[in-house]
Amino acid sequence: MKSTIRIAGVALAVFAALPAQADLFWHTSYEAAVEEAERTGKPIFLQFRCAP
Amino acid sequence: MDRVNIGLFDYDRYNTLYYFALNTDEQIYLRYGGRDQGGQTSQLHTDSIELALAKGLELHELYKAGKLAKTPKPEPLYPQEIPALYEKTTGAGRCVECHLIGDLQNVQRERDGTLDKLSQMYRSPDLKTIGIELDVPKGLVIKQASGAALKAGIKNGDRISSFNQTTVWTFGDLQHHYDKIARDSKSIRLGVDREGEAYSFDLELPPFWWWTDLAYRNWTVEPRVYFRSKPLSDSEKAELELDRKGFASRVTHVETIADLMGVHSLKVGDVIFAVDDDQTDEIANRAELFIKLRRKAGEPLSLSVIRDGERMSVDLKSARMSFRK
Repeated sequence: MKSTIRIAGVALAVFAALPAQADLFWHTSYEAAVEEAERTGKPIFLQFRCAP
Repeated sequence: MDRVNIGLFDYDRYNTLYYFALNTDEQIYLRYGGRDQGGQTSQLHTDSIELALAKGLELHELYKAGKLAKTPKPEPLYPQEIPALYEKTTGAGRCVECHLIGDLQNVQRERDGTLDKLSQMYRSPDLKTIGIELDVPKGLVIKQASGAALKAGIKNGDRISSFNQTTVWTFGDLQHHYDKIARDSKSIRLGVDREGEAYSFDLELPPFWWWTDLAYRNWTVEPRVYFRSKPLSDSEKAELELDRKGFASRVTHVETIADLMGVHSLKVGDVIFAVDDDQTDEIANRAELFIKLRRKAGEPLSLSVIRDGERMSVDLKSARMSFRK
């Protein structure tokens, strides 16, 4: 199986406010997540998922 | 993964799930993930990931306020910079998968003559070996202290706060730093919080503290021998007139595939006392461990064996794994 990177520029900060699952958005581009994190001032939560 | 900075996002690639919390300066706040012999999710829990997320947010606020100490940034490294990895993935029109990074990095090290099997094959030592069983939903809170940890003074309920004076927030952090120490280390220092007070303890590392189960990793560089053995006692060695300091061991299990693949013809009960005339090793205490540490996967070997009181030679050609490569 392929590995994937999910980057949530939003999820980390939103999590602290206990959002609904539907509010979470996962980027698949590191650059896009960094851009959003810079714009919003939020941290990045990055997931590696790999099933050999 | 071909454009991922694997130098920055360095972790044991045989984890199914692994997380990093970081800022846009690429300062990593914490890691969440890791596993032990209990399985892929043995150290994961929704409660502890929530704790990790909350801590990540807290650290981010400190960073924004200029109050977070900077940590050195690792040197960048990209998959295409590892020739063995590039050949098997991007260069062959295939994806770069996490487990392939770990495996082919070791193949490259083997080619370069820099492979350190103790640290690069026996990855992520199990904390239970030193008597630390964590209450997984609670992150780094100790559920049960035993062995070396108990002897050092660690108690149930302590929350681990640092490893060798490096702050750790999660099991992922702890295992990452634990994995980095030299395999000839004799002790580690753990900081703990106990009922609001900070304590520090030096744990003496037991022999073979670094040993981990290689079965699920399918390393290319691991010589597959398809037998297991048990070290002989000093009295058994003396009775057989073998070197007391040697790694002589008695075969306890032979896998059927050994015969099918023509790897060897060992039998349960055989005593292996030498590999290519080597009888001693500063680390290995049994034959298969010596082979895994000191020999290259796929190489032919000659074993000196005692079977039914008779000394003989048994040829062995270890298998070189190529599982889904």
